[in-house]
Amino acid sequence: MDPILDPRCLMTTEAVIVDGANGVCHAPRLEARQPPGAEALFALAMTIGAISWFVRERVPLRLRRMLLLATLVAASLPGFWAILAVRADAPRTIDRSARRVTRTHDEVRAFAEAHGCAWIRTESSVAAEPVTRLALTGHRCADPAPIDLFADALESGCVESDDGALACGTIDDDTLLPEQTMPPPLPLRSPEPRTP
Amino acid sequence: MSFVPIAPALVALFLGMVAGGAILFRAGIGVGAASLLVRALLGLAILAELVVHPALGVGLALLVAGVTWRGRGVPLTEDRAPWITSTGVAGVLVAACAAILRPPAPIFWDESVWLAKARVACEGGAVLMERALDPQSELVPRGYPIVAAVIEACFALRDDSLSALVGGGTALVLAVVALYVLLLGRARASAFEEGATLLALACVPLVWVHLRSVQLDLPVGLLVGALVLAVERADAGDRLGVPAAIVAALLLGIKDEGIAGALAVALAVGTRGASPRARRAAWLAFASLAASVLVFRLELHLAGSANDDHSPHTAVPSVILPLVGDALRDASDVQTWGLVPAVALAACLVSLRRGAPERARRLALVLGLHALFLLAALVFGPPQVRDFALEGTLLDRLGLELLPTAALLIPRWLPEAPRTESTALRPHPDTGTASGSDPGGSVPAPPSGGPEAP
Repeated sequence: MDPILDPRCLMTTEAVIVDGANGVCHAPRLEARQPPGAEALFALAMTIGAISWFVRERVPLRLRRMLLLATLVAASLPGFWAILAVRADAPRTIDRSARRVTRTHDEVRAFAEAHGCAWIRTESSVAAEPVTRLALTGHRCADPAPIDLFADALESGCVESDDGALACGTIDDDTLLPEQTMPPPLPLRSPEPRTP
Repeated sequence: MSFVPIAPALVALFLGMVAGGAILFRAGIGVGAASLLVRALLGLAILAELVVHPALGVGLALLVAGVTWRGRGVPLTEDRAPWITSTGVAGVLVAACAAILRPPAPIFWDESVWLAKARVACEGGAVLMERALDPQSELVPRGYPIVAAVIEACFALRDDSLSALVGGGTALVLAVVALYVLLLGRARASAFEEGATLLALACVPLVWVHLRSVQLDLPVGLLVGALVLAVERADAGDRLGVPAAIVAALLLGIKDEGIAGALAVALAVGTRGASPRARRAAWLAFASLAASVLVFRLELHLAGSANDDHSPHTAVPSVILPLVGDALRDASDVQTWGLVPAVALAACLVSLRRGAPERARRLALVLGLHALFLLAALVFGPPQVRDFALEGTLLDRLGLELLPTAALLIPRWLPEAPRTESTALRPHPDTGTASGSDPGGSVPAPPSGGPEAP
């Protein structure tokens, strides 16, 4: 299993970067094309129950309103627990996650400024890719310097290697993607759009 | 404790308010919180349209000035300076605290994509447009709207440091939250309706995740809700209605999906038994957004920069059932959504029945049409977007675009005591008492429908 698709509750920086905005406590990719489970049946039953309950006008209005709001509040508690205590962007851990992202951004941007501009030669870190592209934004030149993003780029930080490239992370043969041999036509390539 | 700097955004809001105030100087919309925010956002939205094309910006400014020209001198039916309600104050403050109290760094994948465009906009609007029109440039994902990037750069006062950019994005999110909350407070039929709407939104954990980001899915949903509220204000004779509707529609240009929401509102509110004022507001708003989108698309086409990501493709009807199944599965994820989607679905079904209150019925129509248009966009849209949806990374975020309208619908589903004079003495359907006694805990109705605590 791809380590980024953390099945527990987006408890790593990488997992929360990739999937944190797509759900509170699950990696949607893991569940894609699977049939609805117990949660879906539960929600469906609640829906039918709610309809049959609330359309009965003989139930006092005040009681209906209180029940409605109390149900919504109670059902939100598991999600809030995940947001506040479990995920890598919970208040207790978000500083650590943000420090990794900011460090990568600052190191890449300083490298690009020092060399005029830069391009991503090796893309092995899905999580570090967007902030790296953000850091490269605004720098254009004729001879871009290479950047290698390895799987643990966010965790390990970046160092300039002997060949003049910026190596972010350490080489991991298992996760290393085929290296690009030719520079792209422009040093700055945009991320793939993810929404329509 | 780290926080996101949004103080520069206050300067941008003030400058926007000056520009928007000049456009609306004959509108007679008062100086309440909602009126001031509409002025500020109008100024910034027109600036963004000027970047898209100067003629577009000038034309839209003239349109807004023209349709609001006759405001002065006409007797006001509303409180001239309605202020923010205590529920609204609480809602905006809590949202602001949640959004600001975090490190000024992009955490989620797409945050960096949006901020990269804002960073280019910090170099100048012309630079951003030039890159957007350059077929060789992959800096800005080609074909994507630039409105959000321009406004975020304004909020950052063109400082392209990471913290300033995050601050600009956060300010945009908070400005949209405030627009929704203020229009809700101005339009509310009862204290229960206002509070229950905000509580329904707050009971979705994913809302708080997006509130603490600069992603634009939640703002798009809030703007659709704000558009509905603005059209309802126009329907009620509030002069703020038309300019607020146009502002909400122009801001919906921050994402492609915004056009689906604006069209849903126009069709649901602008055609079926609505008053001429409501129809005018709804279609003026949609036309403003459509003009903005068409001009931008035309410019891309003429520059040879249009691409397949934003054009219709061959329909793939076979994905409809899997997408609907996936959407139901995602909506039933209690940790992400609580039970709000289930209750909203029930409210929608009940509200579409014959004999349901018209206010709820229209909202249910908006919701249904909006969902239908989003589904159509996936069926007719580019294959890669469909893949995102089938891989599970898109539908939850599209759900966020429906949520604020659903949150408006949930309290309207239950019978309530309207705050207007015409209905203040109507026997309540549940109790048989006059609605002024308000069995549900609503505050007594003021005579004009204008809320407002100082």
